[in-house]
Amino acid sequence: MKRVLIKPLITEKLTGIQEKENKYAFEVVKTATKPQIKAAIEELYPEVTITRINTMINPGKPKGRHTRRGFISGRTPATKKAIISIKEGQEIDFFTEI
Amino acid sequence: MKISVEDKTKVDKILTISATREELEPRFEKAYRTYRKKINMPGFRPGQMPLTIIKKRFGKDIESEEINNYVQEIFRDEVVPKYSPIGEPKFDELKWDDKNLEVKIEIGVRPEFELTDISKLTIDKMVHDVTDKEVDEELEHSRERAGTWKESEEPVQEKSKVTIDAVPLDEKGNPKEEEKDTDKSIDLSDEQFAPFKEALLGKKKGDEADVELAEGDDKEVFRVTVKSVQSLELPELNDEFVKKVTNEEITSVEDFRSHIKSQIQNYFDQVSGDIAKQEVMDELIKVHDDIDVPDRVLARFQQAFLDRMKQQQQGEVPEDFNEEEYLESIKEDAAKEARWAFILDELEKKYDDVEITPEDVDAKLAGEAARYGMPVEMIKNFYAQSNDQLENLRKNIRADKVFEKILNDVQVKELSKEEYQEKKKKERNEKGDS
Repeated sequence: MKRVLIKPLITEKLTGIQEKENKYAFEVVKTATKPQIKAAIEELYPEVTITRINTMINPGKPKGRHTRRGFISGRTPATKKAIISIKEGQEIDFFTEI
Repeated sequence: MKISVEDKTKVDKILTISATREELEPRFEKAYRTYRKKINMPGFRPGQMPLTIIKKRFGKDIESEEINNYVQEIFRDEVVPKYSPIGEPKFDELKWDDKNLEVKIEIGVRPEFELTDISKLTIDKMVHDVTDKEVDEELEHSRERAGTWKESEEPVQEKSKVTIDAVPLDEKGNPKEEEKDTDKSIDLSDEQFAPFKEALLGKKKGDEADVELAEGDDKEVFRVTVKSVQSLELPELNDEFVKKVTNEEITSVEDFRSHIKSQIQNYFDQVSGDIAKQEVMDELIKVHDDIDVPDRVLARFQQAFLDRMKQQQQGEVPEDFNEEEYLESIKEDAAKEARWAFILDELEKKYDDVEITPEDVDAKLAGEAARYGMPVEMIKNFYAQSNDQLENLRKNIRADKVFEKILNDVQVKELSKEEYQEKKKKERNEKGDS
């Protein structure tokens, strides 16, 4: 199967909602669909029950650099984030597998 | 937290420090909080990382570091005041299974011993009054040093210098002209020319003699022709001469004699003082050779030996150098030094009324200056620059003074120079035999 999950996202904001609302976030492949993500999570963490998945695509941002030959412009790649809500009382531990 | 002690020997102890997680938890919390401020991770503002994540991510590292700190703190605050360990403590094992901590530390403690009654010790001290004969000899030497070589018509004497031609002879006694050595100047007072001296004594300029030189089994005969004889002309011992050799500092022969006498006397006094010190040291170490030296202290002294040796070799140790073997070989000496350190401590305790006065320091500095041939000011500056050196100086002066007192207390057997040398010789021989 094609790889769906890229990495767990751990930031200040996401740890906040992780503790308050029991939601976990992953960066996923841009073409992944919600059912695919659900399947991937269930495979990785068989003991959790997923109640809802929200996804969003973060557009890439323009990036530029001044060089001797003038301005080189480009974009950072767009990424897709998936917020996984899981059943209360259950948890995903990001650090055990590292 | 518990500390249990196990005596390995009288002076070596193994401490086991044990603690549980509950006892350590507050320390961990504190450590986490301090780390939180320092950790910088993408996705979080500095200092805003949740503790749970820190624990998950860095928990192991932080805890093991904190345990190290903890052990050191315990060692410093609990072990040191209670057991006053000496030498380098050895942290043997550290077990931490997330709940219970167990650390084993090997330490040495000061051995207890009773200082022997110093007044019962007997040492030999060399006492020597400079005799007139020695002064005469020294005077003679200074005259010889100032003497000049003059050509003379006199026959060859013990201390003459001669200029010779030497021709080796073949088996039949015919000279081998091609190997002739001409105009060789030799000093007959030199030991290596003893065969020449034998053959040439009493000969005059122009005389010939055969000299037989043997080298192992080889024998060679030389025919020697004396070309000239020089004898040493000694300056007359008078006030003029004295002025000349002393740069006009001393003006009369009488003063010069007493000057030489006091110089020799000083030299002897210093040497015999040093020897006496050494004797006291040896004697004390011998008496106290039952002092137990803790392993840890021994290790430190061995290390010091090793370092010194390495320094002497300037970092270039031979390739096949076996450090362990070396350490083993110096064990005995290291133990001796360690014992001496303990004894010296005791001695200083005993003579704790020793005080160092500024005059002592000045005297010592002047002595040092004289020894290195530098102005006193320079030596003073040198010591003023470094506190360590000053401390060392103090220590030395203190040790000197303690020694002075000890020498007053011990039984001194005064021996003349000859007796002393005789005795030392005998001791050495006995040692050599055993």
